[in-house]
Amino acid sequence: MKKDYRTYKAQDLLQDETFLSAERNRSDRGDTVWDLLASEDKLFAEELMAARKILNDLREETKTNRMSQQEESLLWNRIDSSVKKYKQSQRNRMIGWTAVAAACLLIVGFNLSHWLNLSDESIDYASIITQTIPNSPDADITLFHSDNKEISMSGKEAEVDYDGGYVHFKTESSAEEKKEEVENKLNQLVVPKGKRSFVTLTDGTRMWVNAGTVVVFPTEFDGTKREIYVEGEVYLEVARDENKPFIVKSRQLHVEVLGTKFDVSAYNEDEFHHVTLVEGSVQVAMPAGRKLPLTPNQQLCYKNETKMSVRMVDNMHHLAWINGYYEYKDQTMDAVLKGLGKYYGKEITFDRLVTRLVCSGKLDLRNDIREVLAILQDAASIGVDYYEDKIYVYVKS
Amino acid sequence: MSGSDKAFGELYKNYTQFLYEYGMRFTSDSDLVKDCIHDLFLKIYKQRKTLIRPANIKVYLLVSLKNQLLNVLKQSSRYQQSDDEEGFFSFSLSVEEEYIEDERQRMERQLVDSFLSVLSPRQKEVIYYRYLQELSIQDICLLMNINYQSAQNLIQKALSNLRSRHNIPLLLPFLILCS
Repeated sequence: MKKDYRTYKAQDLLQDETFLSAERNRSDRGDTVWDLLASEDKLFAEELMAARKILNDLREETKTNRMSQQEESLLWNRIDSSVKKYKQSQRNRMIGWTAVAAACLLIVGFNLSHWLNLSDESIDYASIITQTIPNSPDADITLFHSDNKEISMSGKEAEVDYDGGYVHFKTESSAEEKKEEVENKLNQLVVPKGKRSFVTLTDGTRMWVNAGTVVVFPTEFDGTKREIYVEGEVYLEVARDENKPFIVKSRQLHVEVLGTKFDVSAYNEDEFHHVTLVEGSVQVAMPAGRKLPLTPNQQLCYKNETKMSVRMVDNMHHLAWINGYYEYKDQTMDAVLKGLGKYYGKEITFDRLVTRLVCSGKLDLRNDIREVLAILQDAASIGVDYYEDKIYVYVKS
Repeated sequence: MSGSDKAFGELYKNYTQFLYEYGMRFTSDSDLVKDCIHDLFLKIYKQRKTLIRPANIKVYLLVSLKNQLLNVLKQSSRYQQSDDEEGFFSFSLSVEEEYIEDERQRMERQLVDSFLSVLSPRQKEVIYYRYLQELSIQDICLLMNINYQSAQNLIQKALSNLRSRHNIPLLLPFLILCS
């Protein structure tokens, strides 16, 4: 060794090329020149240990963030098919010359219209919504499409699927299934209180529609953006498309995303509307034009420009409805009852003592409200009375 | 690049995980990272005949992916709360993953986090290149767009930060030996 390593500090060792390459190939026998030096010099031994610990801690850290094999091969398939498309386009290059020119013109045209905001024809959804939410428990989930046609389905849950000009409509158990031809027009799905639906849109976006909701969406997303409108609550897993942002409009808020998972709750009867981000990123535009980005686990609570806040939500219990459950943890009974009342569209009143009961649990939303309340009644010491359409809950003494 | 499809496949197999892991240090958006890897490989394929074989493929891939990612992230900076380049590089996990991980993993994660938390994003980045990717100072200069001296200074500073972190537990066995 030419250098006098005894005076080296850990930092110096970590910047020494000879040391680093020796460490890369080190065996555990502890017989490198540095180990020998360390056995003679305690101060150096300490420095050597510190250097190795830092290296070791750093290596430990790097074992994160791998793609699964499936992800890896999916990505390869994507690259491979892009390469094939590219090869094909090379072959067709001469033939397609005029087409390319046309495409260029199109792109220029598109950009111009984008610049001049020509493409931004906003639709007045509130006036399009012709349907009101029926409050009766016997109301069907109904889809209005192709101008005047409608399909409806009894049952607590429905699944709606668009596929090559047809819409499939079925109940959760597939006990009932309907198929109809659809035109490329705006569709309206009406989900009454106490029911839910699941929709796969034509771009692959998955949408869960909660009870008491009307949602408006086109059969196909043409144009430069994908836009839907909601009154009520939807949870979305948006299929990524960098070139076509996905926009969820409600009466007050516009939520713009590229591809992500989030929930929009915008019931007309609610004081506050909520946007909850589960994954990815979204941007919420407010009526006055202000824009607010959200990061995962953040929830925007919005009433108006002055009454709004963003908070962190550390659990997603309130989104359990997408799996057909009503889930709550350490909540007061009155909050649970309010939630159930909203889902089933029933007025539930309670005596004040109910607010002192704290409960946790999971209720199956496929049951009707009487069954659900009966389960609660078994779990907590409460009694339930029914007066025509109203429900009264009290604490049993 | 030989231009043959087989070599192209090999290139993907050898470097894709590595690139993914690297990309995830700039964003928590795994789809975005995959998109950028897709675009990068497609670009390489398109340019396979004109591309001069780079001296170090690894560095070439890292530089290209970083540029691509930063471009996209800057363009969509309205989707990000921080569009400050310095703030991009991170050793810690994204929020989604922390959300999924169980308690024990999270504890481990926090330990490493606190170990690295003494570093600025740029210091983290330089440490990552030097000790995890084992790149030369010259290559790091290329990746971080800084000169040799600043790269060395950055490493020096990062190491002494890490070291001061490590001082306390490391002294303990030493004291026992002396007594």
